[in-house]
This record gives sequence, C-alpha cells and structure tokens, in this order.
Amino acid sequence: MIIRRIEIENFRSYYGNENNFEFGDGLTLLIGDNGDGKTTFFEALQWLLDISNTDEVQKNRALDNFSEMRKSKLEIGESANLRVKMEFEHDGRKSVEKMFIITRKGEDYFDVSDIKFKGKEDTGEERLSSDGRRLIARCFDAEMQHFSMFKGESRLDVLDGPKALKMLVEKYSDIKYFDDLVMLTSNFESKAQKAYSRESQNDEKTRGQAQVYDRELTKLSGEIQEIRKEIKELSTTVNSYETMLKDLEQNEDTRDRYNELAGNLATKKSEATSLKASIDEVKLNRNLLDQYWIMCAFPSILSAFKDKCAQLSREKERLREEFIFERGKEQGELNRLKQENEALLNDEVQLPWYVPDDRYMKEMIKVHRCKVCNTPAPEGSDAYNFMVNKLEEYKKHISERTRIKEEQIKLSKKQLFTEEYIDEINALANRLSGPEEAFIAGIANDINSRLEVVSRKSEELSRVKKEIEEIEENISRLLIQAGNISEETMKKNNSDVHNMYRKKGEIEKEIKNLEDELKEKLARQAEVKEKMDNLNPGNYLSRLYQKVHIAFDQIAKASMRAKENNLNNFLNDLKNGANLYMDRLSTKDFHGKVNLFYKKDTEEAGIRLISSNGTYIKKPSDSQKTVMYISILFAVSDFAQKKTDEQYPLIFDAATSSFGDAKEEDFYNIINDVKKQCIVITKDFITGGKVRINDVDKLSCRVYRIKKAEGFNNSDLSTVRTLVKEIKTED
Amino acid sequence: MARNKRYNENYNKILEAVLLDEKLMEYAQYEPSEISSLEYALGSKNAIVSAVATIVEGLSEEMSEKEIYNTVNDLLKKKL
Repeated sequence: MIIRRIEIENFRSYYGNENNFEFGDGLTLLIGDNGDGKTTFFEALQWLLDISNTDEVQKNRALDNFSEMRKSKLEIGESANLRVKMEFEHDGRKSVEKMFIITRKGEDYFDVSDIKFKGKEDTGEERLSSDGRRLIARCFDAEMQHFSMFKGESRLDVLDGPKALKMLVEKYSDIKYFDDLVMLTSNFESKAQKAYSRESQNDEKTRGQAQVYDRELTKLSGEIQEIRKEIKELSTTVNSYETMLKDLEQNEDTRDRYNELAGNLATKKSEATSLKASIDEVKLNRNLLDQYWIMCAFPSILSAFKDKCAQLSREKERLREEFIFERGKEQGELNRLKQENEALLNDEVQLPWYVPDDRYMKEMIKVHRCKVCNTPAPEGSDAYNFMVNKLEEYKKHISERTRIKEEQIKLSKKQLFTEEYIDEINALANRLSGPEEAFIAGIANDINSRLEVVSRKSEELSRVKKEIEEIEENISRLLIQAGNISEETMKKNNSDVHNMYRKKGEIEKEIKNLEDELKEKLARQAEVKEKMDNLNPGNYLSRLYQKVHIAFDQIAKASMRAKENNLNNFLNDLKNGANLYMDRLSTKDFHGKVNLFYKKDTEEAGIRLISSNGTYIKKPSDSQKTVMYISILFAVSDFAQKKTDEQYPLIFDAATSSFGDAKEEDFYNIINDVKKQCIVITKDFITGGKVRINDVDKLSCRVYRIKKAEGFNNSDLSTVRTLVKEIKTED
Repeated sequence: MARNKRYNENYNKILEAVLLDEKLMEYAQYEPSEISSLEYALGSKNAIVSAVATIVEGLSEEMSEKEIYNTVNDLLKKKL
C-alpha cells in the first residue's frame, strides 16, 4: 500500500478543506513546531483508520474532533463536514473517506450525522464503491498499522509488549500457527500421561510407586496451574500499566515542560509571598508615618541651620575685623589731627611737657613775669603779648584736645554688635547637635530605610508578579498544545506515572518470584514424569500406555524445539536485515549492531545494541536507539513486502526528536534513498520557530510545513488553526 | 483457494520443522527421507512420523483436539 493523498477537513486544528497532502514513493517530511498540528495529523489518520470502534461510538466522539474554529463560526442551522480522506494504491487505486456532518442547532447544541465511511476502488475498468471499514480491513488492517504507524520514539520498538513477538512471527515468519501445534501436543502429552498413570496404578508391580508419583504430579500440576494463572493475571496488570505508562510517556516532553513550569511557578509564588511578607513586616504604621515622618527632614534642616549659623559667624567675624580696621583708621585719623593741632599750636612744634599749664600761665600774666625764662613781661610788651597769645592758643588747644579726647572716648565706646543673637543661634545649633541630633537622625534613617525596603521589595514583587503571569500563560499554552487538557489532568498524570512505576515494579518483583517458583515446580514435574516413565510395569497395557506417553512427550518436546528454532531463525533474519539498514543509516556515527534475544519464560523478545566485539551497550543514546528501531522497522517492512508482495508505508510522529541538527539531513536523505514510503512528522529543521530553509533545500524529498496561523489567542482553542504549505517538492 | 494453498504450505513447513528435530529422529529412529511430504509422512511405517503427520493434518483440517488425540492415540497404540 502506498499512500498518495490525504485530505483533512475540520479535524481539530485543521480548519477548512484546504489541508491536503500529496505523497510520493519515498520520504515525505511534515515539519512543524510544538503545537503546530503534527500529532493532530497523525491522529487524523488514526481516526480515519479506526475500524475497531462501532459507528455509534465514533459518532459520539465526532464532536470532540471537530474544529473548534469551525464550530465557533457555524451559524445556527449551518452545517460543516468533519472529514478525513486517504487515497492510496493497493492492487490498484483506492480511497477511503470517513465523514460526519455537524450542524449547529442552538447556541451550545450541535447535531452529528451518522457516519459516512466510504471506500472506492478503481479496477482499471470501473470505479466501485465499497464499505470503507472493509476496505481498510483488507488493505491496512490493525496489525499492519501496528507495524506501520509510530507515535513518538518510545513506540518504535515493535518487539515491546507481551504479544508483540507473537504478532510479528505470525505475520511475517515463514511458519505460522506453531503455537497451536505446541499447545496441542502439550495437551496430548498431559492426557497420555494421565492415561498411563491410571493404568500403572492398576498394575500390581508399579501401583505403589505410581500412586506416589501420581499424587505428586497431581499436586504439582495444580500448583503449576495456580502459579501460571497468578503470573498471567499479574502480567496482565503489568501490561496494562505499561500501556498506560506508554500513553503517558507520549506526553513526556510536555509533562517535563509542565513540571519545569509548575516548579518555576511555585518558586515564583513563594518568592512573591515572601516579598509580600517582607513588605508587611516593615511597620509603616500611623505612629511612624504620622508622628515621625516629619523628623526625616530634621537632619537636613539642622545641617542647613548649622551652615547658616557658621555663615553668620563668619560674616560677624568678617564685619568685626572690618570694624576694627575702620576704628583703627578713625583712631589714626584722630591722632593725625591731634598731631596737626599740636603742631599748629607750637609752631609746628608741640609744647614740651614742662610748658606751664593754664593756671601757671595766668599767674605769669598776672605778675607780668615769664617764669620760664625768668624775665619781666610788662603788659603790652612782646613777652606779655606772647604769653597772652600763648594762653589763648593753649586754651584752644586744650579745648581741641578735650574734644579729641571725647571723640576718642566716644570711639572707644563704639560697638559693632550690641546684641548676642548670633551667639545664641550658634549656641542653639550646638545644643541641637550631638545626642539629640543622633536620636532624630536615627528615626529618620529608620524611616528612610524602611521606605527604601518597601520601595525595593515592591519593585521586586511587581517583577515577580509579571514573571508569574508569563509562566501561567506558558502553562495554559502548553495545556492547549497537549490536547486542551486541564491542569488537574496534567497533575493527575504526573502522580499516576509515579504510582504506576512503583506498582509496576512491585508486581514485576512478585512475578519474578513466581517465575522462580514455577521453574522449580516444572523441573520437579519433569523429574517425576521421568521417574514415572522409567517404571517397569508388569502388564502389557501399562507398558503400552507408557510407550504412548513417552511418544507424545517426545513429540511435544520436538514441537516446542521446532517452534523455538523457527523463532530463532526469524529473529536471526530480522537481525541481519536490521543490521544492513543500521550500516546505511549510520555511516558516520558509531552505531553498533542489533542483537535480538528471546526470553523463553515469557515468550517475549527484546532488542539490544551490541558492539562488534560482543559487548552489550548498556545505555545507548536516544538517537542510537531510534536508528536501531527504525532499522528493525525497515527489516520488518522488507518481510512484509516479501510476504504480501505489497509495500506498506512507515509513518512516524516525532520519531527523531533525539537527533541533533547535524544528523537530521543525512538521516533523511538516506531514508529517502531506501525507497520505502516514509512519512515523517517532525520538528527537525526548525530553530527558534523558523524553518532552516537552507538545510531543507539540501533534502531530496518532499517537505510540507505545518504551522499555526498567526494571531491566535493563547487561551482560546477556537482561534488556533493549522496552515499547510508545501515548501519543497520532491527532487 | 489461494489461502488454502498457503495454509497447506505452512503446515508442511511445520511438519518438516518438527520431524527434522534431531532428538526426535534419534528417539524414533527415522530418516529425513521419510518426511518429504505430508502424504508421505502420513503413510510412514514409523509410528512417530505418522503420528506427527496426523497431528499436523488434523490441525490443518481444523479437526477438534479430541478427535486428533483419539486418532493419534489409536495410531500409536497400534504401531508402538
């Protein structure tokens, strides 16, 4: 079967009827980023190919898959299709189409039509309509889908699971239905053993021993049956856990991302709570704000006040110096005047100290005698006149001196600052400084630092709140991408994963113990049977039944060995085929060799990667594992082609998420050369939301870009729409 | 018809795979030449060869388990 075209109409984010994909014989890549609609494409195909659910169940679920955008745009009374169609080649051109018609009947009420599941076959001569369900069952049944369609890297291991090997062998090994033969011959051996046991107990010679063996065998058989039943039940539980875990692991990336975001959110919320508490702790109470806040200005006012005081003191000092200088100048002027005065009185010579004073002068005039030079000075004489004039001058001089003296006294009494205000202000400034200032400054500092803390913490809180909003937005976006699930569901899934792993581990341990016990019982059963077969019966019939039992036993054992040989041959062929692909897909890297092993106890097979020297590679990288699984799938695909003369497509959703950029291009070009139809849905070749177009151009395959249309609302699914664009045609 | 053909070929392969088991050959003392086809094995004088062939034929013809057992059991009783 080769898929030629897929049309998706109004299936979830694939709004409208223009979502068409064409496919060639080789590789087609569908590239898109997270949430762009990659998995929706895969699930649309699964929805089309689902023939296991009844029409009624599918009808009931149709609305869940109907495009939210289309739904929101439907007017009451208007209808739209929910439809997926696949055209393919399988013994000629064929197509299947599944469709529901959705009609809006009310604001929140939609009517879903009955399913239309149509098939069409082109025989070359005519075009026949058929039932889509039957056509899928014939051309691409569930088993074939199991080996063709892979969602995520974890689903690539086709040998994983309890029935996987059986299904693979039944489908592709040379010999089918070996299990039926093994079961039949084993039952025959049991029956023959019982018949022989019955006869040997009738035989007198062997009766005693046979009864002992028979009792033990009956007991062992019951115990073995019980243990097997228990193992089967426990294995079913483990399998259901595995299935559930696989489903949960499908969204592992999303869950990891959610956990990371939820962790960040919790941290940020706790940070916000702590910041709020810190802000609340700063007591901006009434006492502090109403009574003390005014004090905040005190230190600066006091400082300004002290500056002013100092300025005034300096000014006062300056004025005082200026005053002293001016007074000195005035004093000098007075002295000069005095000297000038004296000079004038004494012919420029001041009278010596011994010059007679006012009273003595008057006496000399009165007695008409100069007692200085002891000569007579009669009235009218020159000497007399001289003395009279001198007396007058003297008087004038005395009068002037008195005036100057008074001036001097006046000058000496003159003061610049008659009040003590500046000193008082300075004293006040000094008084306010020191302990009081320190006390008030302490209050001010306290208030300031509290206000500063509140301001800083408030800024931080606002930043954290913004970050919380961003994280919450990212979480809602993630939940929409994960299928619009609620956060509770996501949390429940998380807790389920942990619980399931724990429970699964416990049950596996229990199974292991039971298996050990079973081995012991089986060994003892074989031992007792052998002893029974080695008895030497006395009668003919007992001997005959003994021979028949031994024959059935040998046939049963040979059937089991043949089945195992067939299985080993098949696994060997598969391994060789896979290793050829491993070489091709990983030419540049170390890739090891595929080794397939078979666990007889559980009849399960496993895959291991080994080095060419036989060393088991315990922890292969995810990309090595992916290449290994894909190699096996290609080998299985070869088997399928050989068996059915038909090719089958291999469709991978996010199978290569562990590949680095460098590996992508080589890998895809090699897959394209393998000449098998592969449809790979991937986010490879996208960096930072943009397609690395240069790298895409180097590919030789057809490439589609699927992308969410711009302008969607993070929290509204009805705004999300996937756009499909072919960005590279096949070379 | 095509399905039946593939079905028979498949059971021939089963028959061959079981009868070529070395331990069974050693126990039952027969040669690989006795098992060239289902028909040939069914007619074999060797009890084990014909028993295995009868079981496989019974399977291929979708006979009941009881029916196959009784047939093979009788066969072995006669031949052993």
